[in-house]
Amino acid sequence: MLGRFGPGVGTQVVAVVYHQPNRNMATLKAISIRLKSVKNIQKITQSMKMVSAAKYTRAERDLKAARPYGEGAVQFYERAEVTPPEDDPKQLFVAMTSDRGLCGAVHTGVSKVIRNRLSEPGAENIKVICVGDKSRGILQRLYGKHIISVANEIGRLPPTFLDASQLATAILTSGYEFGSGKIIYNKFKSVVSYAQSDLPLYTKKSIESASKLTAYDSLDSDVLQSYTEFSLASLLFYALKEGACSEQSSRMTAMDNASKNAGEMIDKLTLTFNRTRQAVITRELIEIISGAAALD
Amino acid sequence: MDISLLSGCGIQENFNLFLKIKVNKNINKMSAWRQAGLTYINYSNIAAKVLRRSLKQEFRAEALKRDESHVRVTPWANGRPAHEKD
Repeated sequence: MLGRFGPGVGTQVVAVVYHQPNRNMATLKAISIRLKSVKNIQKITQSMKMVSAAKYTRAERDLKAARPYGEGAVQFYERAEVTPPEDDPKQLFVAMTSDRGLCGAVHTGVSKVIRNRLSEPGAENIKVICVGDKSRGILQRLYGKHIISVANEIGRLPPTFLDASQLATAILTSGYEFGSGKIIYNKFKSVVSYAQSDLPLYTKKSIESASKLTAYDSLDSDVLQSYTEFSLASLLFYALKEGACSEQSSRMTAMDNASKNAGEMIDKLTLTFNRTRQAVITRELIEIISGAAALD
Repeated sequence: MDISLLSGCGIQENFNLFLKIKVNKNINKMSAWRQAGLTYINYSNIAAKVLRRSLKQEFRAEALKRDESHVRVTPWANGRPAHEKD
């Protein structure tokens, strides 16, 4: 900068006026680097928002088609008035999350429900199956002993019934004989809101001892066994679909907020940049003028 | 039903044996796959796979997209993944 005005003036000025840069005003270069990186971040979060908006429309459509599976299975349990057995304290919780982050509070919400239940007394009989790496990450530190299975590769593609069947088969062959269970998932309410909810899991024994089971006819042991397995898979499928829809809508909101925040940061940084630029110009002018005045 | 089995019995026994065999056959039909070690989920997924493969060309591609699963389940024990070396 000083080289432009010839070495003579510059060295004189440096000898006379040695100023230290004000700690609060970073150099122009640092501000412009920061500005460029925040602009990049804004572009990325905007594109993530577009992508998750597209995935959300598809997920909502799929969810509408999947609702009858879940609601039908729940209705059966309600109409037959199935209750968890009093003598079997063993429970199974399924945490329905996914592998991907940057989606707001979906994963922490589900994990918090499970964490709160596990911190209450009587938690030794509860085992957890983590669907998705996020819940595993949150729960494994304090409650790793409760985890009996972890499922990966959730969230990249829309869930299919085959995914749910694999989970159901894993639960049935896990060797853990539970008396009752719950699927903890995020129930999709609208684009801007979702809430944690749970779906009940029962074993064949609890269904057979249900009070109003006679409301359904032509049920024998074989049919009940098959129906228990199918209802497990369909409840898991429904929870997967609801979870995926809530996750995409939450990611859309989160990325939208991030873009807005990045935009505010860009405005503030641009103002600081202009102020700093004007200060630098003024400083240069002062140095030139005082240098010229010193020559007179 | 084996004919030699029938010829060995009297008419009354024939009828009883026939009924017994018929009833057993019905039970066997449903639980043949159960006895083979499949769960209902496996059974219905195999049926669904066959159905998808038998669709007409214009519907096949979309149905086959529903036929894939990428989920990987790992059993855990004692707070760590259970290492089962096969």
